Amino acid sequence: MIKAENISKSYGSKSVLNNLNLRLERGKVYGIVGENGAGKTTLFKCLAGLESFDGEIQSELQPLKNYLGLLPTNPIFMSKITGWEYLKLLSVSRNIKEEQFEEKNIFELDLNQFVETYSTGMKKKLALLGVLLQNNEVFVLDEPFNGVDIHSNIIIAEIILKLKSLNKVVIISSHIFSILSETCDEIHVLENGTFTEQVGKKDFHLLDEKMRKFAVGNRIEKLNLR
Amino acid sequence: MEYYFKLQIKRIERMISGFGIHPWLGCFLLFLAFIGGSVALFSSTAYANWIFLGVAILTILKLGSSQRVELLKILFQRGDFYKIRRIENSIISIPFIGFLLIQNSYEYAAGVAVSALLLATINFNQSVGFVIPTPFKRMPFEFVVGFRKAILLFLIAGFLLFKGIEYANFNLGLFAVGIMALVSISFYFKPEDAFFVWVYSSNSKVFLRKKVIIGLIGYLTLTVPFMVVLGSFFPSELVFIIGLGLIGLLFLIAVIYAKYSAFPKEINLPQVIFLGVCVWFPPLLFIVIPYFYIQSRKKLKFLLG
Repeated sequence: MIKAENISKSYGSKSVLNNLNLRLERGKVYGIVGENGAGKTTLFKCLAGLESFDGEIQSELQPLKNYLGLLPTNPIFMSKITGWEYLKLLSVSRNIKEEQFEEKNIFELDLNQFVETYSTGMKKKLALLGVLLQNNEVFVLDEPFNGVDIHSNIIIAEIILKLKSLNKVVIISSHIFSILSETCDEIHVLENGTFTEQVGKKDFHLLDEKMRKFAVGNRIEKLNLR
Repeated sequence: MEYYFKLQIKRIERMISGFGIHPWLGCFLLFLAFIGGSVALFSSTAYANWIFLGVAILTILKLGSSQRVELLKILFQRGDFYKIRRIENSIISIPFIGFLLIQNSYEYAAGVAVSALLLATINFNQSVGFVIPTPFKRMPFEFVVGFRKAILLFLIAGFLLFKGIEYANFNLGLFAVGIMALVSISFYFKPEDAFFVWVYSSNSKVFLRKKVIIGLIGYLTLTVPFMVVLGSFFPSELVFIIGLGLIGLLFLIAVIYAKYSAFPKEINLPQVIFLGVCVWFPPLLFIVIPYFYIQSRKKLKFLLG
């Protein structure tokens, strides 16, 4: 459904993505893991059409960006705008005449308050709600669980599974492996702008083990904690 | 503390450079604009002292926003914090005090000085403030945000209109209409984050059309009531008022297109020069608007197609 071929991106002389290839099918959830700075956010921006890149993205949906909902790691908000007005903005931008946001306010946010008074987690939930209200076909969720309370994390995981059952394409990044293994069909490991591994559900436990070994290594010993 | 002020100077220089001009030239142009605007104000109304005092206080208040104050409190000890607030408020009030002294308006100059020192001790927590209702709720976002930020200026404009009618001073009433128009247009000076353009499923042509329609509705909602009231008390000037309103409307369209012709950067020197020339000779708007429109379409093509 979406085929990304030879995606490369550089900022000046610094190469961030190197010839990435990715194939995304309907009704599947894809996880992208990698250390901070591995290129996950840049990849998401390229997929969304927010960044220019070398390579090609083919899709049955044209233009792809009109069917794609993007949840940034740190959602952007204007000052002096209420939660309701933010949801209205995201709806009108996709020609959706929705105004009954209270009914769909599953995270029970105070939509009549300025977004700037929200906590980090509340902002993330509002941004996710906005993306969901747009009736997108493709969801690119950059760390959707970050800063969100445990109850809402459970709800978000259920939302992802619901989107999968609705035959949508979902691509997420997260540093919480347990949630990825619960929701994803495939996990791609991104290292220094290159996919180094593509792992199916049955091998998630092996990937988890490998990542733990790699991440921890002998670093804790180096601290010489007493 | 010294490093903090050096950093502020660097930030201002970078901000001015962002407009595509040398910082020193930018400062000089700002100085000229300040003197020009002040002279124009004092030559047009008898209430210039009060307006000047109001503008000075509003400018000082900008430095006391909750975010800035919170950051300063985190960075500095109590004594240094208040010292910085007093120094900053004093620096920003110097041009206002200077101009008032030249005008022999000593009591107003003293008013600015006292306000600057007093306001350094008051912290405003704007983020928890109550939500000001706006008639633009359904058409986000420029007028929703702008209306709330400029509500005080609109109240001042209303007061000036009332005074203009009370004292049969047409110029003062017209100045009030001008405030409404200029403030409405100013909502479009700052570019939004690229996300809020990308998120639209329209192409650049439809996107710009939507932006202009929302802009026109907002502009007319804010200015027409003022024009109607002023026109009903000065019927002989009605054609002049409508003409001025229409020119403002053309400037609004020009500024919207100017914004997107520089997008995602801020409106910079070429756009400012074009708009400045149009202020001098408004018929040029009929050339400048299509030019900005074509540039906007080019700039938005990547994000919207």
